[in-house]
Amino acid sequence: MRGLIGSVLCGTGLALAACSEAERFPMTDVTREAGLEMTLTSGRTPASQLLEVKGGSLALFDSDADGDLDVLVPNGATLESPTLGPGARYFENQGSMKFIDRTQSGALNLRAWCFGCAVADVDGDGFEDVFVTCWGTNVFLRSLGDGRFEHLGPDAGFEASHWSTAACWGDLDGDGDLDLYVANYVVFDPGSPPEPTRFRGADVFGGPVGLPAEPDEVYENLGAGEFREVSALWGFRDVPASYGLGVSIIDVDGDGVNEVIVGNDSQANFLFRRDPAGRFEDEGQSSGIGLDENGWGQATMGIAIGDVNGDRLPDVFSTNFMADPNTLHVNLGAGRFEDRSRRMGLALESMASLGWACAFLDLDLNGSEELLVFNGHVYARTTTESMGWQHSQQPLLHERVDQRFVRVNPACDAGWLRESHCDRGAAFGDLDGDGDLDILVAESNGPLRLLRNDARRGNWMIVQLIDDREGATNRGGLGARLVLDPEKGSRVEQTRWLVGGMSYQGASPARAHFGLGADSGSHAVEVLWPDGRRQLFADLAANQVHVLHREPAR
Amino acid sequence: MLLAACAPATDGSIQRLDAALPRFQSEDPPAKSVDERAAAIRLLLGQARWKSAQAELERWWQSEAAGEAAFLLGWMHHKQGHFALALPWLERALAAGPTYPKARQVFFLFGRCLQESGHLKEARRAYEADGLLYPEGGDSPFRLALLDFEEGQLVSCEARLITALERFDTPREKAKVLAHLADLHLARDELGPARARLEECVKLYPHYEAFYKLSKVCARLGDEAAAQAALEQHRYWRERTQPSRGQ
Repeated sequence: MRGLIGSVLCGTGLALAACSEAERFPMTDVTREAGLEMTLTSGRTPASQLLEVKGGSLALFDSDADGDLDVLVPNGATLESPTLGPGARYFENQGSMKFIDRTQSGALNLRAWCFGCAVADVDGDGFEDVFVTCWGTNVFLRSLGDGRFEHLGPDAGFEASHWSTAACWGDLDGDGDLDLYVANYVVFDPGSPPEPTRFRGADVFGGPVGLPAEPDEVYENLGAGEFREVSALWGFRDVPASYGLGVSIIDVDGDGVNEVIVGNDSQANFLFRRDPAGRFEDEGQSSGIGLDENGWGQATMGIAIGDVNGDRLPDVFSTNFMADPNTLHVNLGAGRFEDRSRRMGLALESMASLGWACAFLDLDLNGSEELLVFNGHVYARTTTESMGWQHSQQPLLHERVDQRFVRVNPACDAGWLRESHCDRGAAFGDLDGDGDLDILVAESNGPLRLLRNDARRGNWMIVQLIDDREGATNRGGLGARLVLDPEKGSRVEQTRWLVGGMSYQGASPARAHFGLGADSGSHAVEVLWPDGRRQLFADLAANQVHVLHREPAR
Repeated sequence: MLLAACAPATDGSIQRLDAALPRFQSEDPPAKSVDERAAAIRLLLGQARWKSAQAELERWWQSEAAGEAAFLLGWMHHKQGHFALALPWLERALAAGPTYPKARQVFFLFGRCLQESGHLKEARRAYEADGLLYPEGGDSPFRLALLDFEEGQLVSCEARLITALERFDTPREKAKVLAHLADLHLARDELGPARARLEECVKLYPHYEAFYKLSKVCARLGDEAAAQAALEQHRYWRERTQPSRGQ
């Protein structure tokens, strides 16, 4: 019987050589040549507990301020030894996409079961620091600038010990420095896991539904490397504890005050807005971003932010469980969002995928951002197959066609789109200095993959911000909005936000990347700094990395 | 298992649909099953005794590769939400021709499973075939309208929704179409007509999802009182019906 089924299916498998058009999104796996070979640990496959399926984040950041991007892999542990895993890894970029493993010399020594990471130059010393979330006590890795890290945890004020998932830096109280939001998931003891449950006729591990949620934590930056927990004080405990998996801090309405978007698993998402008294109130459901178009809370995993309709307002895309579409909430202004997933062609294509990392990014440098989603199931392969679902899944790459997104046909394009993996986190940045965006992606209990972008199609520009005014601590301008050619009235205006917390629990560099298509001329960029000050930078040449400095205070 | 090693059964589906269709158009399926096992198996399926039904159906299929066994296996997997597992069985049911009761329904069922598995072009062709077999039916124009909407073909979408609205009989079915007509208005930024469609929809068949949409439209129109009332109705009907997404 099986043989018959198999032969029928194989005989009708996707035709891989049927398309004649050239690859438009070529990527080459250069993991080995780059020196990034490693296998991530997250329990075992097949997973027997919820704890094993939620990890896999990555950080791509410049820890030593040498201009290129280094790699941190937080890594997980196993159920047998949940507090002593194989350890996080740190790879320093030597240039030209060659990395050296500096885990030992970097004094990383981080062997907890780690999940997410949030990156920012928190103390304004010019070196990017990393907050790593864990099952257990979280860790703050302060970069010393020479490839080494100083461990700060309870000493800096981060005393709580929960199952933390995502984290994000951002200025929440408007004082100019970077505060921290930590999304927590469930109360979970691997020694006493929840009973298995039934899903679509199969036995699967229990959770998160039915488990007590862990409330999120918010920390105020007190300066001098000290933080204090202000979750209740600032109003974040006025909402029911929820299954947080993603968080981003961004000014959603351009009024100079940051909001907090929290993606919750199987529950309504939060949109926290600050009132004049400095307390935050959840407007997730009233704004429309908390639920899908039919009023359902979804299993939000990853978050991507982009401007899909050229109105300079951030639109929010989130990835979800299988049989539930990925969701694009378009920002209507005035604090309202509308689920336009179906209208923009993103819903039905995603029904057979379980999405994690995601990003808006211009892979082919044509001036229009694609939307990329990495996928993979959580249940055991035999379980997913008993439901007719794939355990390992192809990524979904959607390109813009007029006002909609259209999936790039994997049978007609690059091989990396045809490969199925059980992916989780991904980070995006120009790792080889050629101006296009390369991709680092992590498979659950699988290898790290570095995909070099070989598009070389259009012109480009990368913009990095520096606020080096005396006393400024948000040196990288985290929270800023950048608009390309704001006066030009271009066909689709390009807007970027330098914010953390995107993709899935990971960190991509806080640099704005613009594809310019055939336009090799100079461009202007308008920067809206986190404190609301606007600054226009004119005559920026194409095909260069520009470091733009904040004008001195007057 | 081989299923994991191979891509979903979709390539060539359109050709096989096209090849199978003429026979379904020209021959009538039998009114009753010619196999005495069918009644007992249909009873098991009606009681959602999936494992027992599957065992019986696979025995039947192994003994004589009957189209009816394949059709019922496909139907059974579809009913459990195992859409990709249904596809190869429905392909076999298609290949068998109209040799079993209600055989013409295989096209629509195949379309649903293709759609849920992410194969939208193939699903479209299956719905189109269903439309030829059931020219007075509302299901295929409705499903095709949803594909049109996702593909940005709003004119075609509207025409098909209106056709479905005319053809559907029950308040529930008509309400479903009205909710999607409201989506169409929203896509055109026609908030007033969207509200009118949704009000008509919930009057015909009160459904928590439509009430939620209505609350959002009213809020955008600045009618906060109506928005709040619709939101309360959304909560009331959701609580009352206790829907589950199966997660």
